[in-house]
Amino acid sequence: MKAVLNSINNFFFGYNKNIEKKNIFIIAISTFGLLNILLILPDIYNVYSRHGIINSGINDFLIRQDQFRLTFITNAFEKIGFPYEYALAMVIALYICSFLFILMNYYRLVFAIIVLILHNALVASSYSFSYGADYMISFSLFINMILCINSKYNRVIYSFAIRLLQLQLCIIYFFSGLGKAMGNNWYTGDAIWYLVSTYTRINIITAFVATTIPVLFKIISLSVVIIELFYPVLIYNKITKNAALLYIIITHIIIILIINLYTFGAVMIILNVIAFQPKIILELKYFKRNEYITE
Amino acid sequence: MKTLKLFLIALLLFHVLSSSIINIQIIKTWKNSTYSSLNTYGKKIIDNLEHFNIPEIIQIGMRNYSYYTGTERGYEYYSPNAANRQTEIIFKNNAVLIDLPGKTFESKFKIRSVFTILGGQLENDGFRNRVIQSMAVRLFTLHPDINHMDISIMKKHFPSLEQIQQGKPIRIQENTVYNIDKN
Repeated sequence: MKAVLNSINNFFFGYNKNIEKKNIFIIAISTFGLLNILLILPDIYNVYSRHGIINSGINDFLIRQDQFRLTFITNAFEKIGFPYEYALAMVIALYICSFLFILMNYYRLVFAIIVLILHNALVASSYSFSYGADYMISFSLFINMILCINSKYNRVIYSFAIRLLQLQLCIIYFFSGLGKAMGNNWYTGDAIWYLVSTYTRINIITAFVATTIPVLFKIISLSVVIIELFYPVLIYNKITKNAALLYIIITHIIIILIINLYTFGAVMIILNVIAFQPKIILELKYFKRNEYITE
Repeated sequence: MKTLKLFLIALLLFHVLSSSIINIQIIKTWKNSTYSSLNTYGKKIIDNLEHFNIPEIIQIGMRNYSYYTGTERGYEYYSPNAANRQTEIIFKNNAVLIDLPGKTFESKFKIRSVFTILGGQLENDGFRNRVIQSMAVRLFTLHPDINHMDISIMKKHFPSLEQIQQGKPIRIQENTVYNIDKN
């Protein structure tokens, strides 16, 4: 019994690999979150405003009534006399500034909590526009918040955060693979063809593959299902870990290049790198050079 | 230290359980939606999950927790089958296409993904009309010089790889559903 408890203790609280790079992980997540909102900034009123492309009436119909959303904050600002547009701009400004404060290591934990709350409010307020990447950013900000806790128990909390991230990635890929394995068109290769057709304009290369070597779509979609479904086993096995991680990272790069899901692909790569810390990436000159600066 | 570790283990267990249960609950809903498109094993899994029930009070707790951790929507992307059709709402002024807004690749992608996210819900006429009205109002605001819009529904049907080998093309249907004047 004691041996079991010891191994549980070691697994969850004894993982201190690359703890010196904790600040780099925080910077990576926060910079990505900041870039994400800066990319949406020119269209904030189209995406998040109650008079946006999808108005708040439709949005509120799609989400739970008790779900925390932007209008809860903007209504409060309006009550004290600010016009709605200014109120929304102030919330976005607070969100952006909070990222900057995290990066500057100024009351990091406080601003990490603010960023997490505001991001979820933004996602809830733009339900019709929120796709996988937004939810992955939410989770990465949750991990970021845990990493930002600075106390004498740093090692225990760091280990917990990394293990939680690892387990969540296992859940993500397993259920993603399970869902696909329950259908039909992931076995025939049609699923990949439909996704390419949905997200991109069919070009000469995809048309060529679909007409002459459709088996390529079949190989890709079958491998996606298998790797996702068995990710929890493959990633914790010493022999298969690097191959599985490499496959997952390459898959996300392909998703970026072919289906143009830039944000989703990038956030998944960041989460995988932080969780399973491949030497080949973390020993790059950039990370070596900056780990001391950021400490 | 011991208390902290116990708290963290409890949090981790709760996280893993809630995240898993949310995904199971989402899969369970396929019984009433995409059951016929599941394979034999998929149907068996759904049938077995019918007995898997969680008290409402626990579900509420898990939903609130998962909202703040970004795990609420589950991970069944493009499952159990990727859709073989796409519905888009098209806005035109004097036969000239009015693009949906989007100044950067991310906001453009986000705004256009409304058709994928709402997907099947756009098949419902009442809901689709509300979406069209909301989009039209915004587009009139963004293009003050436009006073009239023709709105059509474009449906793309993608043939399967097997059908492509038999020469079946992508089928595109476009039906004008509304003509709206600014006032």
